[in-house]
Amino acid sequence: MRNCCRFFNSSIGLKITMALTGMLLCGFLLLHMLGNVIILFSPEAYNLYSFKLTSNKIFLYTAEVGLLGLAILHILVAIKLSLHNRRSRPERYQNKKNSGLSRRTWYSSNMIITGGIILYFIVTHLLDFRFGEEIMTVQNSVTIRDVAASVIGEFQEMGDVIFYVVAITLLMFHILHGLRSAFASLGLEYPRYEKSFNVLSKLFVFGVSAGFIVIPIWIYFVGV
Amino acid sequence: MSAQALMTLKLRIWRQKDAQSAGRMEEHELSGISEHMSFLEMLDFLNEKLTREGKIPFNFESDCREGICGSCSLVINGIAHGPGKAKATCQLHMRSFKNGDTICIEPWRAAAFPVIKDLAVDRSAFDRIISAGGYVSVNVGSAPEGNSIPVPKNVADYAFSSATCIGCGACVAACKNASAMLFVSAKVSQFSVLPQGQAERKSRVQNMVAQMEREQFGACTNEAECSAVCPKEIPFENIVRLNREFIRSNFSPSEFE
Ligand code: HEM
Ligand code: FES
Repeated sequence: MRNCCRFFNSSIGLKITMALTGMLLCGFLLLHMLGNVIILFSPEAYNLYSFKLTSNKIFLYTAEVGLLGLAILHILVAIKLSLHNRRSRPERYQNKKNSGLSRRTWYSSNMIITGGIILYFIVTHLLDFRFGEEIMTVQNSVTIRDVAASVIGEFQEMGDVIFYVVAITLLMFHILHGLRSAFASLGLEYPRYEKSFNVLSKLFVFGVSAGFIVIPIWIYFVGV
Repeated sequence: MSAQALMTLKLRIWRQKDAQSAGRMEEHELSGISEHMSFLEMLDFLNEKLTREGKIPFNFESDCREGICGSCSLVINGIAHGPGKAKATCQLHMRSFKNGDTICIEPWRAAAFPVIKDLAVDRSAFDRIISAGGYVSVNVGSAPEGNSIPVPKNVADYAFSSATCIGCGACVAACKNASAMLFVSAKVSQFSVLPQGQAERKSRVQNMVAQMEREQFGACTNEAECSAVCPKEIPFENIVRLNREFIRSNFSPSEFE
């Protein structure tokens, strides 16, 4: 147990926590995206899906507490690492350039910024949908929440669509570096698999982001 | 070489009296620089001029001047060891610059590498990391028979390529977090793949990582900027191996360590 605390408190252990929580959150993103695109095919099916997901309270609260725990851990460790890393270079360079030969990008160097904006987005997103107004409807003579109506209502304003798309784009950049980085942090990026991991994580990232982005744009321009 | 080939450069160099004092950039114009000079010879040339003028020369480090000792440093125009791949500052030549260029010269900057004076920094943090575990313990006596411990060629090559690290600290200088992961990972990898390194495999990585943290180096964001500036091109793969070794050392059971 003491060993375990020391492990997770070391700089490598903190990065492993980031990688594990980040990857699990990525897994959640995939499921969330797959669930959401149902709305494009049938708002009724989407309402039913949402009803099924939320009617088992034990499942619902376990999942919510788990996700909240992952997010809090990810954020606290992110802050701890960022502060630690700043302290490691108290005097900045007057002139510092990237070699241009590495994986470094504007988004890999600003994970805490993209992360901060994602956090702001998540809070507004939860206020809109999780804790937002519940419109009710009757489907197959059962009264259930018309969450599709909330979603469609949300994306009638161009400004809301843009905010959503920008947030998802930043999330995309966050996990574009993050997912590949997580394989390295966990010691899994064996040279033999490096290329495959890189390609697979890019496919994952672009696939998930595209799924999320299509929804508001489709609703705004085409409607469901 | 014709006289026209001599360059005049504007140099902006970090001046700092000692670790306690604040530093600042100082500007000097220097002419008569041949493209054949190494970067360090150019600084020698400047220092001679400053000495002749009764001014204080700049302090910078070097020893072998052929890329094998790791003494030289300098962040040149924002890049550790200056432009170009796989070279230490002593192997950088003035032909990489043009007449009239401004060159910005700064020391390695990291909490773990305090400035001693001007461009010279104290890199003894690396020595303390090595003392913490970057070795194999052997009983003294006559050298063992070379072939008594078989090592496959590819493993020997891998260990050797990690062992080419000269400990210059460019990885720390280039990293946005001033992390020493590439250095530590090279030293850990070098031993962890060899049979001679097995006895202390777990304690080595534990102790070296613990020392790395005590020295206030940052954590790794996996951007691989370190490998890109490394004069020995130590690959980023070593850092992945260090992560793996660290996990293994914590969770594989052993009664003794
Ligand atoms: C759904 C939301 C999120 C997902 C899927 C996600 C995913 C990830 C992943 C996979 C990593 C890579 C871990 C590694 O390098 O080993 C990462 C790193 C990081 N995340 Fe997130 N993240 C999310 C939200 C956030 C938030 C809200 C913040 C901050 C407030 C944040 C801050 C960071 C930082 C600073 C790093 C880099 C740590 C470092 O390498 O130094 N993330 N994230
Ligand atoms: S002086 Fe020895 S490596 Fe540059």
